[in-house]
Amino acid sequence: MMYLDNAATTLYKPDTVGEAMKDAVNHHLYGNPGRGTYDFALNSARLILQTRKLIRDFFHADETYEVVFQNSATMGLNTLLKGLLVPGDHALATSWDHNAILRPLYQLQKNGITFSLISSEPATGTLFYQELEQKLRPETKLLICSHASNVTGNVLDLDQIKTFCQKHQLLLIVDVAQTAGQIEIDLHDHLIDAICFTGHKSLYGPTGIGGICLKKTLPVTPLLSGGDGIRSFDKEQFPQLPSLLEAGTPNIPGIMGLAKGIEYIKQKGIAAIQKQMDTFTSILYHRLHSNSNFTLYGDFSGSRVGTISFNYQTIDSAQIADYLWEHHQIATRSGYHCAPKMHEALGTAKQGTVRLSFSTFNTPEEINQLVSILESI
Amino acid sequence: MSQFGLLLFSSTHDAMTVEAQLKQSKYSIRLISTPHALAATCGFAIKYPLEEEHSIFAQIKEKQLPVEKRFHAEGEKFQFYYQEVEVKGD
Repeated sequence: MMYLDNAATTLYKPDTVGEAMKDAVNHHLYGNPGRGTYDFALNSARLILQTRKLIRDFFHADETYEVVFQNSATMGLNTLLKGLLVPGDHALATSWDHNAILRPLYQLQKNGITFSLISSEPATGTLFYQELEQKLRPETKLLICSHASNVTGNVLDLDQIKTFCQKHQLLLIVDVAQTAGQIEIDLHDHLIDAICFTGHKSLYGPTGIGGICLKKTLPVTPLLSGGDGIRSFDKEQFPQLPSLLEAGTPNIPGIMGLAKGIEYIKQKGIAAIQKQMDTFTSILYHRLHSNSNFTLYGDFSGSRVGTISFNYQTIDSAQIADYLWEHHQIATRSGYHCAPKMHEALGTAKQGTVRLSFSTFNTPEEINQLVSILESI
Repeated sequence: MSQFGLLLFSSTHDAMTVEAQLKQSKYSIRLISTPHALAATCGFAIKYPLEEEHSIFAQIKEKQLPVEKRFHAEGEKFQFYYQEVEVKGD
């Protein structure tokens, strides 16, 4: 079996991730944090505090930022969009964006919030950065973007976007679900107001845990309210991060697993991981790009994550993915990858694409074997 | 009759942050549930021995730790009296 759907979730995790989660349940050491001052509750509270710091350091964020845990990047993006935008506001987003950004925006549109999408070049999917200025309005409040396309694997020119947002005093929110753990994410210059991350993709943690790393000054109205162990007689959520955005009991096994995933990445080093992903992409590109049966999508000259999309002739991408699984036990992802605007730009709205996405547990031998199988279709 | 000091916080997160800092400096502190006589909250407070107070307060000031209020407690078993400690220059 060959697993190549790591952009959906990494199937193979470091052993330490599962062990930590098992310990969280079996060792009877972790209680409900913030609800007691006996050791079990405090063990959890201390562990969460340490993991917040681990994550903040991982993203090179200083103490002006806070980490709040959510159950996914989707929840984080919903929290920020619905907690920051009010009727009359306008937002900028991009055609690279996942439905985790697009659908909350469509939902907000019904409440008097407007948004514009920065479009992409048809052939490569490269963003038309010149549209940033064209689509700016006096009421534009924020720009939200996916750091990398989950279809092409291309990475945005974040420096250009940061400069634009700084110039126009827009809030900048970046979805790093596809990039965290694969390329360096650096908040030290304070030009990004918030990033949303998920644990279960290239951070090698479990599903059900993600979060937001955001400036403490960001005025977010919470999406959820409820118990937090603080000021129980108050009718509103405690107005300070992280409690403000963390109503309810946190996912302790998930947080413990996520911490181990991040420690694994730190041990391997982001530069080494990036090099490994580039090797896989390069094998595929060099063996397939001149084969007229295959169309490879995206720009292969710039910064990338370990994701690549292709089509074979004009055959439905679902049929190719099914063939790879049925005959060769190769797990890939066909269709639209919850990124409809990118597929419209690439001209693949009918065919979809077959997406291959890698992890540190893949090998060059596997990728070469895959290409040989593709060539023999 | 026992006597000790208490530090109060505006959030459990602040309490955990201050606890980690003070533990690093080896103070004999302990997190406890905030006495209801002091605040209608189920949050955390830090209990410390009075003989370490001067040094702890100096560290709070130096590191700008997010302490909301400070009290002295005196009593025994379940009967304690609390007096707020005013800190000049804070």
